[in-house]
Amino acid sequence: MNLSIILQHSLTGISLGGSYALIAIGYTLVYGILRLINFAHGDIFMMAGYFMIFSYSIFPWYIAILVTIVATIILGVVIEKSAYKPLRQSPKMSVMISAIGVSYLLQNLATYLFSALPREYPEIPGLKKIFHIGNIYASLVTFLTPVVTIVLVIFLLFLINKTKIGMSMRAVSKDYEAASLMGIKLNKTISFTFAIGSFLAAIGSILYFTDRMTVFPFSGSMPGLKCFVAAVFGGIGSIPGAVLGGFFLGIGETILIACGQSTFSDAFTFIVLIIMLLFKPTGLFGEKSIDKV
Amino acid sequence: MLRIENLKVNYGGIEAVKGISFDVEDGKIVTLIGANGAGKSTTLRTISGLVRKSSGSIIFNGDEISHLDASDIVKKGITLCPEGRRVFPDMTVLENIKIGAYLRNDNLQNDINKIYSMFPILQERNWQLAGTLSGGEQQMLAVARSLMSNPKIMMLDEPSLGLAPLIVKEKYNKRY
Repeated sequence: MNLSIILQHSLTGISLGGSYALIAIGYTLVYGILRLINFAHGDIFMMAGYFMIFSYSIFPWYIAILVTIVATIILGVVIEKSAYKPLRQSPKMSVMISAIGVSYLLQNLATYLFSALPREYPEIPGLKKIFHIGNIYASLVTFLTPVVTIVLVIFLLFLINKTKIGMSMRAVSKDYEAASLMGIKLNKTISFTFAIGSFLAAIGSILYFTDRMTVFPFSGSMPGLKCFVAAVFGGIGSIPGAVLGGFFLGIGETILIACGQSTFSDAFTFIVLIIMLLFKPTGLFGEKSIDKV
Repeated sequence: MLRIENLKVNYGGIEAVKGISFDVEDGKIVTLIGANGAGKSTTLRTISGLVRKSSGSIIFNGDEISHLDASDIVKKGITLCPEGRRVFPDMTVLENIKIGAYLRNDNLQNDINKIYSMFPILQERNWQLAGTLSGGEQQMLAVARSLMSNPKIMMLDEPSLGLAPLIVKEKYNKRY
């Protein structure tokens, strides 16, 4: 393998990693605030794919993107309000099972409404145009994905660390009661968190499916699982961790495919999960909880 | 100003507060004293909206407030400095102070300065994460945080727990 082929595969891997990272952040944010693994997140990502297909058939591409983002945010917030919020006082396990229920509900709803046949994902003008730097050829979306990911992550970190709503998210994720004693509205903060997670899933879905070209009702389940592993790998609850995990899995998977081992590309993710859980269950940047007495 | 009438609270299947009544007048300090498990904390937590009453009423300036959420009760001007400090450990001291003023939109600088002159040690620790403070310092921070909302009534749950006696004396001399 010469250098340009290696670079070519790295670029593909980084690009795939970028979309993984955007979805993984959704898992990590929701876990941070609710201590809930939102199993429906991958399916929200899948639904965003369908939203794009349908809105693209009505609107020009830039409005279709906007409609997709808004619809995905609404879906995420509605799921939280209807399936998680009523279980606020229940044990964590109940909420998690509810999340699994929502996941199956979305998959089957999509099968029922849109049929199980893959649908063609629309091509946003210019995104599939092939560019080349030296000997490396790739479509614009491949170059764009990591850039969009990094920009969004910087924006997100700013939002969380420097703004008032970000402050309330950090407070709620540490201590519900103390946060509400400060005057922070729990439900508003939680809805906002789901909105951000869904927003990132919508962007991730546009970047991911533009590359894959088809959407079907289960196309969210494997990326969803992988991104969950990415979040665990980076230390669930940590945003930089999720981003790193996303890139790590994306690159690792692509390298395996490049080496001709595409059969094992999915297995790679889960081997990573098992190794991580065995040796460092809190992940790379996982929070160490210190209880000071 | 604040009137509690025959307040009863069920908490985890037992009746933790069995009909307490008292008045808090403007400018007065009211102290609840009782053995462990007597229901002091539960009473305060119920007033602050963290726990729901089972019967009775909580009237603040003529309005029933027992149905409100904790965040709305803070907005009304009643703040609770909870037992066990409950500062946000991975925020800086300054962020903890600022989050106390979460509902305010005016300039905080004057009040932050006031807090720092009250607790100079917090100014020294300005940029330190609150989780790295000693227990006593965290308690000061918790009190400072509660003061930042400019409360009309401030409820302190075990405020002197873990504080140096000197600070305790100093703290009780501040009239708010």
